[in-house]
Amino acid sequence: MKNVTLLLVMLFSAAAVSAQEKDFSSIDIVVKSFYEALAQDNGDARTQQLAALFTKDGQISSVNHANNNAASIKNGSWKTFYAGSTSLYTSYSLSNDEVERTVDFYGEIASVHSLVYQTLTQKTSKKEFAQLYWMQLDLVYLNNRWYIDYASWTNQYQNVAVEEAILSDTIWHQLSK
Amino acid sequence: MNSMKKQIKLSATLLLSVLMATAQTEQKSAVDVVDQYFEQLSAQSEFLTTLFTPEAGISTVVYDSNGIATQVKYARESYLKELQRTGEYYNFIQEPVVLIDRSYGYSTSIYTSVFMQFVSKDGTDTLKSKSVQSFKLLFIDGNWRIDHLSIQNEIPGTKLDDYLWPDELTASLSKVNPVSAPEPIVSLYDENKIYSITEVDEKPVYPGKSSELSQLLKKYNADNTGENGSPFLILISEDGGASLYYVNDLSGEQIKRAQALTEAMMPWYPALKNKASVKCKLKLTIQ
Repeated sequence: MKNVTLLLVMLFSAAAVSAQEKDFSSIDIVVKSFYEALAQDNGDARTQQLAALFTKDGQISSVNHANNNAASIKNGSWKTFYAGSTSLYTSYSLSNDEVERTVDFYGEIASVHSLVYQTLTQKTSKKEFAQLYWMQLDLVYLNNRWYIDYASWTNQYQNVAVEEAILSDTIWHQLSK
Repeated sequence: MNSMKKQIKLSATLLLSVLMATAQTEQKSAVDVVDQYFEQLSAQSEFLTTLFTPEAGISTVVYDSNGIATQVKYARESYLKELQRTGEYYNFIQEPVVLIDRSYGYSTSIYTSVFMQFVSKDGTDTLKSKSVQSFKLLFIDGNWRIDHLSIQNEIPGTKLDDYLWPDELTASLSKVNPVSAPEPIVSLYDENKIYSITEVDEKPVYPGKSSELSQLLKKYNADNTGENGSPFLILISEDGGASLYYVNDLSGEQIKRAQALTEAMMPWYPALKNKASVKCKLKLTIQ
């Protein structure tokens, strides 16, 4: 039993070290690592991976549209958000498949928009539920690497294609001065 | 007594209906809220905080004397205090220039370039600058509110992309700048500067037929139309040599291919500025 505990501690430490030592100098690696972290089933490892990705005061918001034009919105610090999401991971395993991405950036900030195909698999019945999401990440480049400062996701509703979220409107503002 | 109560009740109901109707007609879009934010900045009143969610974070990037970037993050109340502190010394305005708006359901993202002007209270000093700001808004309790704002002020020598700072909108700004230096009679070029293709008189040209460049790009799954794949920049130096300049978020494999592509290029005819060869960056994309 002691051996098993020791092995688990070692595995957990290895995961934590590997998350901390990962090279996050490219936006691509950070975005992919974020999806990996979201899919991580082990709660402690997931927290470690997210902690390595987010800024200290990083935020998350989630918008879950229902089919009656209403939505449930949660927002706040990423730590509080994930502390409240353990029941989801108890019942489901989760996977994310990014299908499209666009990035705007200047200097030390970047704004990432992705379309993500998310699959939830019920652990008991193995039943699968899939949904397309608009995922937004605001990143900041500090100490030679990118951090996530804000993550937000929005699900598709009432057959209104969420792909529309990626399409942008450009508005020119007439300057008064 | 009863009829009086009824009348009061009726008046209250009517008043409530009028208020609700007014609130509905005044419901603002996410873009309106961002406009309102910029309008309210110069007043620095408590109203500004109501445009944010209570959980909102405002992130700005600042640099120390060695050029090292750090993040300063504010809650909405501390952000207002910071603005009020600036307001003690300067009258300032900020105006959005180009807004890139993405929206779906109860969520909106606005990525915008911003013109900023600070005038010292005694009127002796005027500072004009630019920034790029990323707004994330949520539709909560019937109103759009800013949940996150990320601000990057202009970095000297790093130009904003042309689509964020179009000449058609911004040409007048340099004309009214009282502290801008007069145009030199003889235009010069900066030998250390890396120009974008919009700043040079002659763009770099790849030798041979135009199909030769297309074929070379195709071989490495790259493109110069700006439409397919992930963007990256190459640098064409004064002697026409091509090198990888900025790889953005390319994967390791894409970087290798982009590197191989620049190495396979023949020397270009370099860009010209005031009849002199200058360094110039070109945007390509790669699959």
